[in-house]
Amino acid sequence: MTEAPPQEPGATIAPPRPSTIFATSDHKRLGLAFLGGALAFLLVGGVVGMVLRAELVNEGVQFAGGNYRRLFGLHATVSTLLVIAPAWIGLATHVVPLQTGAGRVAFPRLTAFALWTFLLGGALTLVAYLVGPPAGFGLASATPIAGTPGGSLDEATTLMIAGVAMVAAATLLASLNLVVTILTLRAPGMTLRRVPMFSWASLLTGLVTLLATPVFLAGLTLLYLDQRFGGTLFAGGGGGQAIWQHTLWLFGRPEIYLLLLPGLGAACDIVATHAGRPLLSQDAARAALTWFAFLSLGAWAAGQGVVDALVLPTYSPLTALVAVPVGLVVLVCLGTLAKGRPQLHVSLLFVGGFVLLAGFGALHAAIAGVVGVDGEAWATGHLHTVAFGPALLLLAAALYHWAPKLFGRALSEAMGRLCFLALLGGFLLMGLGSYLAGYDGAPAGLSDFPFTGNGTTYGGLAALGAALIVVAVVALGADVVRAAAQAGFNRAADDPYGGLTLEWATSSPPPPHSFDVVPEVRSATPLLDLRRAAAADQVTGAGRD
Amino acid sequence: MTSPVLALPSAGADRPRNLVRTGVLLGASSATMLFGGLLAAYLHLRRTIVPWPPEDLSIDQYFGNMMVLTMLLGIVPVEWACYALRRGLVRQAMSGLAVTIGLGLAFLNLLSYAAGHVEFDAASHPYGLVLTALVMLLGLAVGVGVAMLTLTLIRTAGRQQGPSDAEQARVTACWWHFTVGASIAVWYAVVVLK
Amino acid sequence: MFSLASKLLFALTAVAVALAIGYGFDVDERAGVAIFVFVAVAAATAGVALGGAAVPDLAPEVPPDAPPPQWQATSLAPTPPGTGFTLLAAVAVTLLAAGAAVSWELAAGGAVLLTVATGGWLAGVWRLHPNWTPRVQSRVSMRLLVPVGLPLATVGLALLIAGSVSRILLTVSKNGAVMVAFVVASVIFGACAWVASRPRLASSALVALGAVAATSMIGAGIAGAVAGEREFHHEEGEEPIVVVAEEVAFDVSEITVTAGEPVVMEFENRDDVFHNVAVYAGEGPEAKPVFNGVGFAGEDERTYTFDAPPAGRYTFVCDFHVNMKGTFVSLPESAAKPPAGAAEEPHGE
Repeated sequence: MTEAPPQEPGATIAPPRPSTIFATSDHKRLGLAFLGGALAFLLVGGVVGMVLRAELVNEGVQFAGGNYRRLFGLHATVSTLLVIAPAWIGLATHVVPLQTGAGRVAFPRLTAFALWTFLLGGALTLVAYLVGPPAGFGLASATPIAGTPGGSLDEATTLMIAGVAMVAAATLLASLNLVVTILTLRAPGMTLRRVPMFSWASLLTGLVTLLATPVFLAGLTLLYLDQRFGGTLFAGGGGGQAIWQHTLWLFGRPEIYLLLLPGLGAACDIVATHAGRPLLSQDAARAALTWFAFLSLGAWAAGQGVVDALVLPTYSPLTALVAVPVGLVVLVCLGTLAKGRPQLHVSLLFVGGFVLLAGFGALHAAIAGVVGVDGEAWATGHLHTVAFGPALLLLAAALYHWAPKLFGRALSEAMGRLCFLALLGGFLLMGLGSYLAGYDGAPAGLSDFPFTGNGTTYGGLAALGAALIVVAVVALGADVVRAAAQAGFNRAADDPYGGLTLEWATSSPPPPHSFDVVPEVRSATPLLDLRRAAAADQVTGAGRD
Repeated sequence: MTSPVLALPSAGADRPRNLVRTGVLLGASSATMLFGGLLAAYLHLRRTIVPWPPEDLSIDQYFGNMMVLTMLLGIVPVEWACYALRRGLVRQAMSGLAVTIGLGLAFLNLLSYAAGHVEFDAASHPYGLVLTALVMLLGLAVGVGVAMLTLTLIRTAGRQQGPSDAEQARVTACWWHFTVGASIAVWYAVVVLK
Repeated sequence: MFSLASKLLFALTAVAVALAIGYGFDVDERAGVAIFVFVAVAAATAGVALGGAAVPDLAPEVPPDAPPPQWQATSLAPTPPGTGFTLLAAVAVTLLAAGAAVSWELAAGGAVLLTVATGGWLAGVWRLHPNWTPRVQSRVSMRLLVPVGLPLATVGLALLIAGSVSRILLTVSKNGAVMVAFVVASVIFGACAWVASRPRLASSALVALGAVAATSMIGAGIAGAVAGEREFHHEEGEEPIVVVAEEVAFDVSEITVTAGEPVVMEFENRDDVFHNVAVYAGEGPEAKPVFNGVGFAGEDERTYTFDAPPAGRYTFVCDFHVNMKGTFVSLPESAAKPPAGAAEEPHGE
């Protein structure tokens, strides 16, 4: 019998030289680079968001003034495109090959290309905002600007189109790599039904991305030609506007759901690992995630409250339906915790925070359905409460859970708790302030508008929430940087939690080739099967060489 | 105690199979959506803007018909190349690939000629804009196909493709078939439906 | 026959078809229906493609009395080595994208760089194949890379050096340009001599040297281009002589130049017949030609440049019309210079 590799916690290993990142094919380093870039963009987007919120505390223009639309567009674009989706891609690039026992990705050089394209494309997008505000177009706008007949070129807009297209293409290539990896490279015995939930969610995310992102690229192509050559496709209402809304939102609406989908898979793995038992119902959880992915494609439409928006009848019922698979996943996780022997870990706190925040958002959705909403600020708050907030919470949960594999050492529990409180509290406060302002009829995207009696209070709540979120992001970033800088020193145990899946079957951090040996896979929890078999051997004393 | 015998297709100590083919086929599905988005835009504008195409803008049907025929002709030699390669007939495989490359270049030549001789530009009318986008992406797809065919030809000449490993040829043929489908879809929308 | 992945995609196809039908009946909006249909087509295609042996999804039957699961050595082939050409390709794509947005020259540079990066990437892939022996590498290098790549690289290098250095030389002063040219030539000579004197020089050192040289040259060239060319002044006495031909007659009857000095003559033809300006020593068919300007039909302008003949009196004529002539005076260098192009009345005889 081949023995499992000996565990050596506390040992020191030499980390690779930083300069080798430019020519590496190690999926783990590439995944970390994706994560690092996403966190850097998160900091940029978060600080800009805080400035926007601070501007809205008091009536009148304080300091953002003429740059408010520019900052608003920058915050929306960075937060939507450059943060959460690439972070999940980075995490998946690192963890999925470990979970499936592949030890490598299908196309490592393509992943490296996607990484650099993402970083450079994101930088190009930021440059576009520095050169001059891209006129009108931004992911905060459901209607692009008109082409300029006569051909005068707006360089900021075309630069932004180029940058966003690069990021979208990078996401597409990285997703292609992940899907092919999961489909074709798995340890012997690991069928798709035995793939861990985070990998299953990553597969679904990748498939939807492959289908939805090209439509966005098609819309960007039309917009680019219109801008570059002074066309009139998007000038008037009617045909052009509808096309843009379709091409933007076939990408945009699934994108909002896809920010959450990998997190739901990660939550399932986190709960199962720390409960010490398999999920209550693997098939139910898989089916729920699959339905979530299908609904993301079906529920596309422009957001509410946008002038001349094309609101499709598919939007409302299918958006409401998405609560069903999410609720099912939450129930499965709660049942698993109840039946297992959970050990409190900071990642579980973040998962609990996600449930709280999502519930808070669902509550306000129900309230809005009853009382009606006048102000667009409600939609802004709702987006942060049900999409960005939960996604960030689950991302943080995943980082704290898989830190031994990512960095070779666990992140700080104390810092984790601080980050959790600040993140959850921040999104709750910001959401509450926006919701209340929305009920009051406050608009969104404007630096100044007439306040009602409580406008300052609501603005203050939201600004305080934004500040807390930035504190959380800084705390998380500092913790991650510290762990990365000390990677290789005093490394963690191979399996600090008594894990169930294959990523815990290798060292922390894994060697460049990821695995020396892999356990035979006979179920979705191969390590649990091994431990049970070993325990049974000890009891019976039979079957030993 | 002996290790259990695993009777399944292991990944093997050799190069993992089917990676490139799976990747290219999924990529082709993705590219289908790219063309789908543009064709959806074309069909939508066709309904909302009257007249369509504009009266002063017209394209010669001959170009579109010849381009599609050229692409269709390429199906046979590329499949012949794959068939020959699987049987170790390297010269025949190279001939098939060369013929397909020639047809691809002919397509691109006709495309650039037609594009250079239309009487409108991208900005003059939404028709011109969408048509430019469709033609540009179609040219790009066929260009990628010609590049893949050329690389396969070189690798075949260098004996890196043969009966034991014909994956690249198979993948190239799949991409060619995709571009044929895309050409037919664009031709149907622009030349037949108008 | 169909794996779980294929079934998943077929389910997605069914959902997309249902949505397309429902959407078509309810909204009847072409773009949305078309997109749903394409989703169905793409998903179905992917589902068929992933069927069969493409996606292995098998596991052995495990009988109840089977021995417990054990550790086993991994059997997957190792990860292929990475390459810096992926970063280069991403930089090239960035240049291409930024160029498409603001400047076609930038896009062209990006396209060239992308070709280089793709070539390097593919070369790396091909080298991994078991058939790629050192002998094959040598043959490809000698038959393809060297005959094609070496001339292209040489021309490219020459263009790079000429382009960058010329920008610098045109920016600095006249004397500064001489100094810069001397310094650049000395540095290139010195660097090549140093490299040649070290037969065991590591390739990384060579690459580093090349990178430093290229970066500094391109950077200085860009700086020079941004700073702009210095102003070029004509020396006194080099003002161009203006001659006009109209209605088969010159507008000047006498041209005066300084012997040995360069003559710049701006000749304007306002007729639609051919005219030119030619200078002869003497008159008649035996006259010896000093300068013959290119003839052209109007309305057009040309600039003739030639060196003034030795001091003396000459004749300037139009070779196409014998009646068009005048006096061409070349003064000694020590003589005072009268204004050029004296006598304004047209002279057609």
